[in-house]
Order: sequence, then C-alpha cells, then structure tokens
Amino acid sequence: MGELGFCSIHDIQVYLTEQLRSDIFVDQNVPLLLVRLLHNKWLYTFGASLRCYLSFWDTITYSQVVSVFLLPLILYGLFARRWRRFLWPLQLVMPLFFLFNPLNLSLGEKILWFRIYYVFLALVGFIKLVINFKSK
Amino acid sequence: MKRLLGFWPLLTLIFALAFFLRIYRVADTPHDLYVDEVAIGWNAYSILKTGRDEYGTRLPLFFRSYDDYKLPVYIYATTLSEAILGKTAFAVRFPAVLFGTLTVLVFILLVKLLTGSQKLALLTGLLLAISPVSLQFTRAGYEAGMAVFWTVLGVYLMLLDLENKKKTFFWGVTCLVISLYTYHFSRIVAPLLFSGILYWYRARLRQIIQRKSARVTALFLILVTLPFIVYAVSPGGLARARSESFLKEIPAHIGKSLTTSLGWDIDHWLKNYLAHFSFNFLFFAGDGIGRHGVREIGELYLWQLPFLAIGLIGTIRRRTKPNQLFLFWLLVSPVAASLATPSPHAVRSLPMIVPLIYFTAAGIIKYISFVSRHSGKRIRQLAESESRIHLSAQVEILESSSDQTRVIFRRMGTLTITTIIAYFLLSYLHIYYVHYPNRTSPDWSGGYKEALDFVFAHENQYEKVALTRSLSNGYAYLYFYGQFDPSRVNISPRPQMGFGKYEFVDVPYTLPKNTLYVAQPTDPSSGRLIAQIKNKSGDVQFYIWEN
Repeated sequence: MGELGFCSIHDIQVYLTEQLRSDIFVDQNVPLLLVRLLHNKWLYTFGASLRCYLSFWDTITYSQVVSVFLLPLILYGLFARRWRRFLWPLQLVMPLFFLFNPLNLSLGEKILWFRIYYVFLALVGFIKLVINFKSK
Repeated sequence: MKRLLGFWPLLTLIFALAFFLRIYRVADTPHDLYVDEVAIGWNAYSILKTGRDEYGTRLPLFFRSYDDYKLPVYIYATTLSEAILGKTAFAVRFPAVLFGTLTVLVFILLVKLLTGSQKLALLTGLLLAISPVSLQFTRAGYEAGMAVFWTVLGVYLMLLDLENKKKTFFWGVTCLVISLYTYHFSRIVAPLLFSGILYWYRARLRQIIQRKSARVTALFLILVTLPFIVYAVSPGGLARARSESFLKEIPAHIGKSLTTSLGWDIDHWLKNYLAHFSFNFLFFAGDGIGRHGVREIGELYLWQLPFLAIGLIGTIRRRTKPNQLFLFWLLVSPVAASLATPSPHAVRSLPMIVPLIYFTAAGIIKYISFVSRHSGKRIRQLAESESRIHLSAQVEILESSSDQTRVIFRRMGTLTITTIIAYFLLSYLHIYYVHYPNRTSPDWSGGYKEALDFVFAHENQYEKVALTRSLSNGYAYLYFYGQFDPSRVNISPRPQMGFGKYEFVDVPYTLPKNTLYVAQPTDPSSGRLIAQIKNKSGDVQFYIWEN
C-alpha cells in the first residue's frame, strides 16, 4: 500500500473503496449477515490503517531506502537504556508524520526525511557503542 | 469434565480439527491442480504402473520432470496414495493433508518435551492446526509442508534422546536426511538446525557417540546422504540452484568478479533475508503469489501480532533452552529463501511457521497469566489499604475474593482470545472458500481441466487434436487428466511434444481439416469457434476451434 511503502491517508481511502467494491462482487451468494460481520468498514479501516502505520516500520520499506548495514546500529540505538524513553515515543509518532503529511511532502522528500530519521537513530546507536566501548 | 479436558483428549480434538480443516473439499479447493501437482501426479502414476518416471528412468532418486529435478519423497508418497485412491486430484493432495496433520501432532509433542507445559503444547498445536500458511501448503501438493513435518519430527526425536535418553537420536537424524529429499529449503535449514542442536547439547552428545550402534548408524546416514550431495553438485542440481539464485540479478554495471560484486551480494542477500520479517509479508498480504496465500491475509493472522511481540520479548528476556532453540529456528528458516529470488517467498521460508507459532502461543500464555496476576494484585492492594483503616471483616472478604477474581479474569482473558481466534478463523475460511477461488483462478491453472474434459468428450469426432504451445509446459495435464497408459506414452520419442492424435503446436497455427484446436484467447486462429472455456474468475482461458 502506497508507493514504495510510503502510505498515506489517501491510500487507505482508495484501498477501502476498492476492497469493499471487489467484495460485493465475490460475496453475491453469501448471507448478508455473514458478509456484514466479516467485511465492514470499521474492520477494514482498522486493518488498512494498521497496515499503513506499520509500513513505516517494515523491513521492506526500510531496506528500499536506507542501507541494511545500518540496521544493527539502529536497533542498538533504539534499545539504548538512557535514551529509549525518548526514542520509542519518537518511533511511535514517526509513522503518523508520514501518514498525515502535515508539510505536504512529495514522495522524494518523504524518502529523504525517512532516511534522515533512521540515520539519526543509527548515529545514536553509534554514540552508545562508542560510550560503552570506552567505559569498558 | 476434567477428564475430557485432559491432555490426550484435547490433543485428539486438535488433531481431528487439523485433519478436518485440511481434508474438507481438498479436491476442489484450491479448485484445480497447478502445474507441479499434475507433474507429481503423472510421475507417481507412471511409477505405479511401470516402475519408471516419465523419461523412462527406473525408480529415480531425482525426477527430471520439467527439467527442475523434483525431489522424490512426495512423489513416492503420491504413488502409494494413487495406488489406493486412483489417479485423482484427491490422491495427489492427500499426502500433503496427512503429513500436514501429523505435523500438528509432532509439534505438540515437541513443545511438551521442551517446555514441560501441556497448556503451551496444546495451544501451539491448535494455532498450527488453524494457521493460514500451514493450511495453504498442506491442502495442495506442496512438498514444503511434508519437509516441515520431517524437520519437526527429526528435531523431536533427536531431543527425545538428548533430553530423556530414549535412544531415538539417529532416527531423528534420519528424518532430517529424509527432509533433504523432500524439499529444497532443507538443504540449508536441516544442517543448520542439526548443528545448533549439537552445539546446545554438546555435553550429552559425547555419551551418544560412545554407543555401540553409533558408528554403524553414522555410516548408514553418510551413505544415504551421499546421493544427495552428488546431486547438489551435479549439473542438474547446480542448474536448479543457479536458476533460482538471486545472484542472477546482479546488474551489468556491478560486474561478475568477486571483488566488485561482494558488496552488492551481501546487501541484496540481507534485503532478501529481512523481507521475510516484513509486517506486510507476515500479517497483511503474504508474498503476493496467488498460489502461496489468499492475499487478504498474510502468513499469520493479524491478531497474532501483539502476542508474537510479547512472546519474542519474553524470549529475549528469559533465555531458556526451548526459547533459544526456537529463536535460532526462526533466524535460520529464511536463510534458504533469501538466497533465491523472488523474496520474500512463502514456500521456501515455510519452516518459519514453527517458531512463529511457538512465540505466539508463549505470548498468549504470558498475557493470560499477566491479566490474572495483575487483577489478583489489585484486589490484594485494595485489601491492604482497607486493613490500614481496620475494617477486618471486609479485608477477609476481599482476600478470599482475590483468588476468585484471578480465576474470573483468567477465564475472561481466555474467552476473549478464543472469540478473537474463532472470528479470524471464520473470516479466513470465508476468504479461502468464497473469495480465493474467484480471485486466483489463473494461478491454479483454472480452465485447463475443463478444456481437456471438453476435448476428451469430443476427440472421437476428429483425426487430430492440436493444443496450443502455452499448454505444452503442462503436457502433464493432458496425461494426468486423460486415460493414457504410461507404458505407451513414456516409450514414445517425445511425449512432451504430444502423443497419438494429440500434438502441441506453435502459434500462429494453420488449422488442417478434421482437427480440434485448443487455443488461448490471444492466439490467432482460423476455423469455427465451437466453445470457450472460462476459469472460475469468469475470464475466458481457452477458445476451442474446429476445422
């Protein structure tokens, strides 16, 4: 969902319309109650929003635009004892920034910000590594 | 009632559920046999009738088939199945159903052996029984599902010896060797798992090696592994590896020398490896190939996500032997798949399902125990605060209700999770039986059987039957669905090009007199159109012409 995994609210809306329309076609002979129970807007919206949100944490989205060699440092940074109380809320909020796109960024700009964010995390990991190494 | 909820009755129930979910309408959903299934079915039938494969090789260890050299275990299992059930779609899929169900049983025993927890073992079994990816690959003629069975059984038997001294170690290794002859991912996953187990149980291993029978058994195992190693380095084996390898995608500007391409290779391999841990792959869409999943659900149900996270975090915090083993299993499972392309790939990474299910079940158990413990703690805190203001009668009541509350909360937690599981299972079954056949009919070669059935019903009216070249890769469809004698077909010079009045022809084709022609909608043709064959999606798959 979304180009290169960079999903937005618009993508969710498009997905919902397409999915519900295509379900009407295949569910023609199914009891209405069952169809409403299994395919409804609430459930689809939840699923699509979660998918969209998680696409910014997704390994495929990540590896398409950021070097995979930075991943150990990023993970190391995210689990840094002192900074994780700041980094995890940031990590939780980060997808919302791309989802709602308040700055009206283009895809290229989104990729750039996404890269900057993960390089920042890698830098935190690197600093932590150096500090740990020195203290030992 | 307590007896009914004991380990063995519940295990029987889960086993029955697993079998029912796999066998119900297996011959018609997925609604047609795909190209590898008919090849397996035809080769198995050929072995059954003549003792030779379609190329006339006597009891081959590797089946040439479409030059992809299929591994033998599933084909020989299908031979047995066809001997009893006949040359039918049901017979081709039955080994997958049987071994898929047995995997559930062995997995329960493995988890019980490792953790000692009956609850956890039964829950893992239940989750595997209803797992979308397991159902997908054990309801069709995929060798991968069977390979997972041999892997799980191998690990179980090895650990049974290492943990309980039951003298089953070498039977376990034999199962791992059988898995090598069942599906390609085992070439990498089985040796890695074997090495991991040897490492964890190195102290106990010395005792096993000192057994009298150890040397003879080891020699036997080396002998049975040898043909596989020879195959793996043979031109056929290497050709298969090369055709699937991601290395064939090296861009021209990188060059093929080791020094220039090494960075690209590692980067690409890591990307492929990480892709198997993608949320989109695991929870939302699978690998996108229509035969590998229902597309609307990933490898796991979405509800498993929080429990998987809890289970994994618990594993990292509490490094017990089973946790370490399953974490290792999870990490090595995508290695084989990441060396090939496309990636992620649901079939080649199928062994992942075992640890993923284990961690989900561990997460559920942890969650329920947390909820009940937390609720009990709240009541106790309330009791303590009441005791400070000396209301002793109320304190007693509150303390006694603490245990009851804990039980109630545990039951509520269990009920909630059961409802969620049931809802998602219902949703999956609806998608599988209603949406899936309509949306992925071309992936399952929809319309092929119907076209051939039409041909077989009318062939007597024509001197010749021409089939478009697009069907020639699936020549096995013709022989599998028709009434052909393998002993006659296999001795003909090129059965892959046709047999008797049947011939596979190139496009454009000039239709001779008294000929029936099965063409694709895109193929130009002359003559008179007498039928059009649609697949389940409602698209025209074939036009049938006559002259």
